[in-house]
Parts: sequence; structure tokens; C-alpha cells
Amino acid sequence: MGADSRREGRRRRAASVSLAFAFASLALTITPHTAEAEESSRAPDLVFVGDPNLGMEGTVRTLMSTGRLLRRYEELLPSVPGDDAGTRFIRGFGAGLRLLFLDFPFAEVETTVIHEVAGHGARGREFGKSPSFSFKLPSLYRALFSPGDEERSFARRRDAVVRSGDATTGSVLGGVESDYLTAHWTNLQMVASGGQLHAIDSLVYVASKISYLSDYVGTNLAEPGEDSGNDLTAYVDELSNRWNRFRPADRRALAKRLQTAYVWNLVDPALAWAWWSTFVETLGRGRRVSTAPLPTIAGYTTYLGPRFALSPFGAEHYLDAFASPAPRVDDANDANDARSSPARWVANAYVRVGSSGLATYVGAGMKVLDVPVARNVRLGGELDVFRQPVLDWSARAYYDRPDTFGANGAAYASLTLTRGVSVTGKLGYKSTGFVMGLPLGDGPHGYLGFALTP
Amino acid sequence: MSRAARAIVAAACIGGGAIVAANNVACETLDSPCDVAAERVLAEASGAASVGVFAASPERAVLFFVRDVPPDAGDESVIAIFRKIEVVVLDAAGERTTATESFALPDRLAARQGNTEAIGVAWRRGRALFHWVEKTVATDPSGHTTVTAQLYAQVKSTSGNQGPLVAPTDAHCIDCTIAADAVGLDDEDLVTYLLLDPTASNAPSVGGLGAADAAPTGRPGAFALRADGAIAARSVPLVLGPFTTVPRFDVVDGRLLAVSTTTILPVDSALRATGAALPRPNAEDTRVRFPNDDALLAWSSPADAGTRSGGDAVFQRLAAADGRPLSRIERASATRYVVAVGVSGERVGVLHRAPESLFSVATFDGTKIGDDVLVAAEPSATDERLVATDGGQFRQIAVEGNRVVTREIRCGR
Repeated sequence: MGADSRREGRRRRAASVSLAFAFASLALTITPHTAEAEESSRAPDLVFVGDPNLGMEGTVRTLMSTGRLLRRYEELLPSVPGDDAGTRFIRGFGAGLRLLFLDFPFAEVETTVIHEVAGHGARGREFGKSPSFSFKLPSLYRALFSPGDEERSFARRRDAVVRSGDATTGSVLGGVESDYLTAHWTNLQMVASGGQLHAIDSLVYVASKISYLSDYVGTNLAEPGEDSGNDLTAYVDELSNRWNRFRPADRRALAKRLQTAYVWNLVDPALAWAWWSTFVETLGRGRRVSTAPLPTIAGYTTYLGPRFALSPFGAEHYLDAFASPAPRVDDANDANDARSSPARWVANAYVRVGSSGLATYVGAGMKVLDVPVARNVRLGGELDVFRQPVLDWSARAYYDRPDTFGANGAAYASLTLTRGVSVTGKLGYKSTGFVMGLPLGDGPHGYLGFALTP
Repeated sequence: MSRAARAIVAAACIGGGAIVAANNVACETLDSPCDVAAERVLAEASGAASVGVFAASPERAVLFFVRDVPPDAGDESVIAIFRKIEVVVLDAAGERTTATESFALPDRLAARQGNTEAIGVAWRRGRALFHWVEKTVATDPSGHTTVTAQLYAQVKSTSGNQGPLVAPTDAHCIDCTIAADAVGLDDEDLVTYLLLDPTASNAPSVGGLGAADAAPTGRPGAFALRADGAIAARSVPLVLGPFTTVPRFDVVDGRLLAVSTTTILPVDSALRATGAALPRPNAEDTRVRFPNDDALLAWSSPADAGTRSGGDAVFQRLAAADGRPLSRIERASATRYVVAVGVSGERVGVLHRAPESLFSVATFDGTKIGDDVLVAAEPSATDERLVATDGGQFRQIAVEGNRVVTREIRCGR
């Protein structure tokens, strides 16, 4: 009986695997391929940068670019010409398969790698750890190939957890922070490209924004974290411990407040567009690149959107304003030769305010990227100012802390070496404090690398 | 400082790459509320392998059981390696007084070679009460073996004089175990004991004093000795109720306490309750002080947050008269074990281990002041006390091996 069961299980698994391969192959074969470009004609540069600690922002940008580079495989896929009903059906069917078997897993892998390597990893490296990671198959393929794997986590990490005052909280929230940072840079790139968003970028955006959604909206957030792999429960633990909210009722109130604050993350027009783009533009119309209907004001593409973040002091609510020169008509005519598109600067200004009730933490800042100042030179800069409780790595059980003022300033620069290839980098200095994606401690920060114009 | 001045300092600090605590107007990271001075040796016992504990006494004193070689875990002849008591007397502020007393063992105790249990000492200035249990094994002609236990007590003076050997007839039993504890008071010494029948050891443990509805599993008794060592004529009523462990005596802030695993009971010299029975939320490390007419309890509580190991150092104020809570349970820190608590003015100081020795200070209402201060990175103390000194300052007094050391904890905020 037992042997029969096992044989039956193996047969089913083999059938599942065969079916998965068949669908994936089919997806690759009959992928809908219209005349529309597979990559945004106004796509931002692919940026590959690094710094000694492989900090969060640089690693996020590099991994986002790596994802964009790897998905160029789709340019090799055959198209299905024709406009009859049968062809349209095949296109739609292919779009569904592609979304299910390729796009979703691709976006999941990219988001998971960013979460671990650029999030927890960056915070760990900042505080002297040497984290290493192992990743599981994407959910769909795990369900097919490892149906007995009941573990919820997508990855495992070693030597990434920091146990040192506020650095512990930074380490715990680093993963989610990198997710939200990915979403923020996607917004920057979307505005810079006049609203264009690739199908996989849409999925990465959604995945980044709804990271830990089930925990945010679930009822167990206030329960003691039995599963130490759950970042959000661990974050509530850290907050309750760090701010001396040790009673169960305090913890429940803290969790409830965080859940309420999370609504800010979801009332995001870009998130709504990413969903629309996935299910209507990509799945329904077979488009790989969609253009968000961003307002154009006085010749500038603009966008006003919310940003959500977790900080060592609790939830943060940002209001972001973006602007970039709107694409001209002749840019559209050059859509098939993206290299001829002029570099387009983008500006972002924000204000942020905390809502945890644990402390007063507010800030504001702005960022300008890719301003052409000479034939081969583009510059940018950023400035952040904030007021928040003192961060400290050695203080133990320091609950009631004074507030501090802090600031960050940095310059971006890109020097075009040859057609399509630039040296790019960032150099800045900040005081101790939390600014999304930047080191927690004080001192110089930045990265150096190269950029490829697609 | 004016807002403009703060802004200038803030700008200067940011410009210099430092942070600024605008409220404190400092360019450094967090200021610790206290600093700990280097340890200072108050006294040293003569035997290199001596072990010390704080005496249960109205005066602050450390009892050293003077040994020349470390005790061997497999060696039952403890008397052979424990040859005398040395007492270091400290004043109220924790400084050593000139008095250091030494007491040789009673002759009978010194002569014992094995089969001696429950050795204890109660000290009062100029005299030490030794108590111990002797076991005698007898085999009748049929081969049946019986073990007879008898509690003895004898007072020794610093001059070497010893009082009469006291062996209460009630403190005697066959095939049983006797546990005892004693405390030295001004005019007399108190001894409590408990005769435990091993065959009744499966009875449910009620664990505390005054559990009236619990079946006694041991036969308790108590007696008093006069200052000259003779047994006092008056009886000691022992109204503490049935219990399974002998209550341990302690004297805290002038109050004589009978302490069981679950209860702290203020008593008088007749072992009558003089105040409310206070709970001991943690049987391992509940500490108590009596600031004003209140009681302050501190203990370690397992953390509610499941992802955190260890627990919390918490404290609560109670009315000493009726045990009514006067505050919520407040947390001083995250920790594993609370060592001592002290009260200086409106400040509560808690010594704890996590596992390093740390000091936390908070207000009565639970507002933690600053962070934890490291007292010792690798603590080796076998017993510690926290003494409040003037102006909200504290002093740790620790028994470390054969030494008594102190560390000043100066709190400036």
C-alpha cells in the first residue's frame, strides 16, 4: 500500500513536471509578439555599481538592471503574425502562459534576490557581517517540483542578522526596505521614461509593494513571533522591545497601528497601474511595455504618489512629487532607435512623517538625476534632512531617547566614454540616521560603476 | 539654550559629520545616564578558596566560609575543608568598618567527619550561631538500618567561647531529612527547621508560606536562642503555616522576612506576620526593597515576544501593609536574571545579568533613564547587593571569590 502510494506520488510529480515543461516550452514558442518593442524606447540606463559594502541603494539599482538585462531573452522569441481570431486566441493563450510560467517567476526571483542580497545583506555587511544566501525555486516551480516543501520562506541566509542596538532593527527591516526602495526607483524610472513600464517591471513593482501583505492584513502580527523567518513579526518584536512596549496590549496596539499605516502603501496610483498593466495591457492586449497616463504639466511628465517605508521608529509615510521633461514627438519617431533618445533628467521631492506614535520622526528631501551639463556629462544630486530619535549601535535597552537633526547630501555623475557606455557613480555624506536605502551610520557613502544605455 | 543657538550647534554638528541631540545639544552619540568606577577591594578573606555570602542580619555583613582548598564535589567531609568563618562588616553606605570578626567552628562540628548536613551560620555582631544536622546510621541485629537525624545549634563568640550545645528534641527524626535556616537578631537568634519524611515527598508541593488548605508535607518547628546561646524560655509559635521547604530568612531595610519560593512574609522575632504576604513572581530571582512604607519587587519575567531569547527585568511597587499594587509592572531592561534592586530617591536601580552584569535605572513610574550600563563583562560574583548612596547614586557590592569588591555607579542625569 505504502509502495503503491509512493509510486503514485512519483507518477503524479513526473506528470506535473512534464506538464510544466510543456507549458513553459509552449510559452516560449507561441509568445505573442507584436510590432511593439520588448523594451521601453525611453528606458533608463542599465546601471551596474558597487561599493566596498555593497550598500543597499547601489545593489538595488544593480539588481534591477541585471533583471532588465536578463529578460532581454524575450527579444529572441518568435512572433505570431496575423490578426485573425485564431491568431488572437493563440496570442492571448501564449500571453497567459508567459505570464504564469515566465514573468511571475522572473519577478519573484528578482524581488527575492533584492530583498535578501540588497536588503538584509546590505545591512548585515554594513555592520561587519558576511552574509550568504541560498534561494529556492520560484513558488510555481517549487509547487511543481517540490510539492512536499511546506516552508514559507523563499530563501535562507546565514550570518546576516546583526545583534547590535538599533542595527538589529535595521537588519530586520532591511529586506522590506529594499523592496520599497525598488518600488521608489521604479517610480523614478517610470517618470523619466514618460510613464513607460515593462511588464516584468510592473510585476516587480507589485511584488515589492505587497511584500508581506498577508502579514500586514492578517491578524497574527501582534502574536509573538514563533517563526523567526517572518521579517514583519520580527520587526514588531524589535519595535516593542526597542520602545519598551513590552506588555501584550502594547504590542497589539503597535501592530494595529502599523496595519492601519500600511493602507498608505496600497493607495498608490502606480500600484494600481501596475496591476492594470499586468492584467489588461500584458495579458489582455499582449503588450510588453505599457505607458502609464501620467499628467503632463507645462511640458513635464509629473507624478504625485505616496511612498511607504518601515524605519527603526515605525512606519513612515512619504509624499513624493516627480517631474521629468515630457517626451517629444520626435522621440516617439525615434522609438526604434532608443540610443538616439536624449538623456532625460528626473527630479523627485518628498516629505515624510512617521505614524507609529513611538517617536517624532519627520524629514524632507529631493533628488535630481541625469541632468546633462555637457556633451558627455550628466550630473545629479540629492539632499535629505530629518529629525528623528538618535540611532545607536551599542546602547542597550535605551528606550526614551532624545531627537536629533541629521542630513544627507550626495552628488551623482555619469561620464559617457563611448556610445552607450558611461562611467557612473555617486558620492555623498550623511549623518547617523535613517534614510531609506542609505547606510544607517554617519560618514561618506556612494558607489561607482558603469552604465549602459539600452 | 535658545532655538537659534540650538540651530547653530545642530548645523555645526551636521557639518562635522556628527549627530546632534537637539534636546541635550551634544554632538556625540547617546550619553549614558551613569558611569561605573573601577572596582575597589573592600576586604579579602584569608582562605584563597573561601566562599562568601551576605549575612541575613540587621547589619550589612559578608560571611566567608574560609577554605584553603576548593571543595571537591565528591568529598562529603565538608568540615575538613571549611575551617572557620570570617565576617566582614560594612556600614550602611557599603564601606568597610574596622570590624572584621572571625569564628572558629564549634568543637563538635569541627570534629565531625562526614554525615553532617545543612550547615549554616547566623551572625550578629560579636557572635555567630552555627547550626547543622548530624546523621547517625544504626543497624539492628536483624540487619535493618535506620538513619537518625538531629539538628544542633551552638553559639560561638569572637573570643572563642562557645555557648551550650542545643539539640531540641523536636528537631529529631528517623529516616528523614532536616532543613534549617537561622537569623541573628539583636537579642536572640532564631532558627527554623523542617523535618521532611522522604516517603511523603510525592505529596504536591505547595511551595509557600501560609497556604492553609494545603496538606503539610513536613513537620516545621522553630526555637529561639538567647544571646548567650541558651535556648530561650519563650516559645516561638511559628504561625507561618504548612510548607515543604524551610523558609529562608532575610533582613531587608530593617525588616525581618521569611522567604519561601512563592511568598515574602514580614515577620517579628516570634515569627508572627507583621505585614502583607508579598508574592514572589519568579522563584529564582525576586528581589525586594522597602522604600518608605512601600514594597518594591523586581524580578525577571520571560519575554512575551517569542523571537527574543531571555526575558525582561521588571519591577512593581506594592503597599507593604496589604500587598496592594501601587503601580503597573514596569520594565527596566531585557535580561536573563535579576541580581539586586535598590532605591535611591525616586530612582529604581536594578542589577541584572544578560549574561554580562548590567545596571539599569528607572523612575518609579517606569520611565527608563538612559541605557544599561556595563558593570562587569564577565561577572564572577556569588552574591551581590545594590546600595543607594546620596543624591541618587548607587553602589554595587559584590562577593567575588574570597574578596568583597565595590563599584561606584554614578548617575548624572
